[in-house]
Amino acid sequence: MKNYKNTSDTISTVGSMLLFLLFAVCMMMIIAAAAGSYSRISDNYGTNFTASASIRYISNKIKSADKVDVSQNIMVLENGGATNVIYYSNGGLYEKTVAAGTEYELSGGDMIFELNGMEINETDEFYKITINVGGETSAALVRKGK
Amino acid sequence: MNKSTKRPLNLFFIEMIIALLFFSISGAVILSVFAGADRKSRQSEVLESVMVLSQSIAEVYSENGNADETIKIVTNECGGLNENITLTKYEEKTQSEAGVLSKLTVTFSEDKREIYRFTCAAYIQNGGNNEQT
Amino acid sequence: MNRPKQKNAGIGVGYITVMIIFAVLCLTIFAVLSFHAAGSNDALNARAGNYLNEYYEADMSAKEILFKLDGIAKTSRDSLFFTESFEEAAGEIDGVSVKAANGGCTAEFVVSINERQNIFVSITFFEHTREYRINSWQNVTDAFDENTGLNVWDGTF
Repeated sequence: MKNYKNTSDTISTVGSMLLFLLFAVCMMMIIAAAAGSYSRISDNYGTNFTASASIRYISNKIKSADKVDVSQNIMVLENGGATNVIYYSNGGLYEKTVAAGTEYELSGGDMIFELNGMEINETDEFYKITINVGGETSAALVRKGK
Repeated sequence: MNKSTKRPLNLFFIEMIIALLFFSISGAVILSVFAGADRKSRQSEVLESVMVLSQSIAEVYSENGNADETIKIVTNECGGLNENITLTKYEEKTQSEAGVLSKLTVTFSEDKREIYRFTCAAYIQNGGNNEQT
Repeated sequence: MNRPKQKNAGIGVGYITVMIIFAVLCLTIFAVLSFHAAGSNDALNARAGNYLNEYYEADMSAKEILFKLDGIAKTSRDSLFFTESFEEAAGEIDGVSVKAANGGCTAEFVVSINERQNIFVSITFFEHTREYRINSWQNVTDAFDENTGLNVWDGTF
């Protein structure tokens, strides 16, 4: 009788512990799913913002410049007495401002956005800006304007 | 003796049932918040791509003043639209002896719900005809 | 003798409640953060969309002025004195200033995009050709105004 009772107690204890474990694992999975969902929404926000904001940034720079010169993915914008150089290097979009007419090197610029790639091409009528962020590519056309 | 061995187990189950009830109620609220955030995030993603496309459409249109050609160029250069997005355009042309002023209104909608609308213009010298489409 | 042994054997009362409260708290924090991130993205998009509309509305207004000016230039070419005729007619358009240029007239005007930004347009219309030349069609930011700055510490206590 005593043995039977002990076995029954052990089974019920193990059962309730298993139930608790199952419960704990389910909770962890739900929390992990919620964290994953947040991470996805947050990454999405970062990717979208970077892609469209960098396109807007470059196109606004083109629209405000007195003179634009594009060669080998480097954009040189002349604005009053200053020359802005916009280029892609080491996973980022960089901008460097120097006095008009001075020589410049593609180093020491300020990082504007973190990108995976940038291309600026020139056709007869447009500049084509292609931005790669997190494997997603966005492209936009900006008219030359003059 | 029998009473004392059953009591903790019963309490465990009662607590579990109450906890599950509480969790399911809060879970329903939290899930609806997540669903709302996810829907908003997806809408933002669509709007973001639509705006980049709109900018390209406006830029190309101001050079050629032809809506169909503009959409063709933009689709080739910048990629097409998502399948669920529909684009409707309204073009209005005003002609003078010197040239044609064209205005293009583009509306993007998803499942018949308007998501973005913008108007741009083009001036082309000595071209086009006096028609409204 | 068996009583305390059996009491300690199962899962104690309260563990599940604590776990549930922890889980609900975690889920609530993630849900609020997700909603906030989505809301921020939405607000940012609304601002970007608004700016895009403002810019192309201003661009459209500038093109309407160009349309009028080109019409005036065409009419003026038929008259005896192109410069005088163009200056007189173009000067009647609100915000347009005209000055004589080499071989024609240059018209300049500014169209407002928003409170801080404008589109500055400068176009030269030639007397003997139908063509016009756009010298400038660019975004300009309002000039620095010393009255709009923030008050900062002047160095005295």
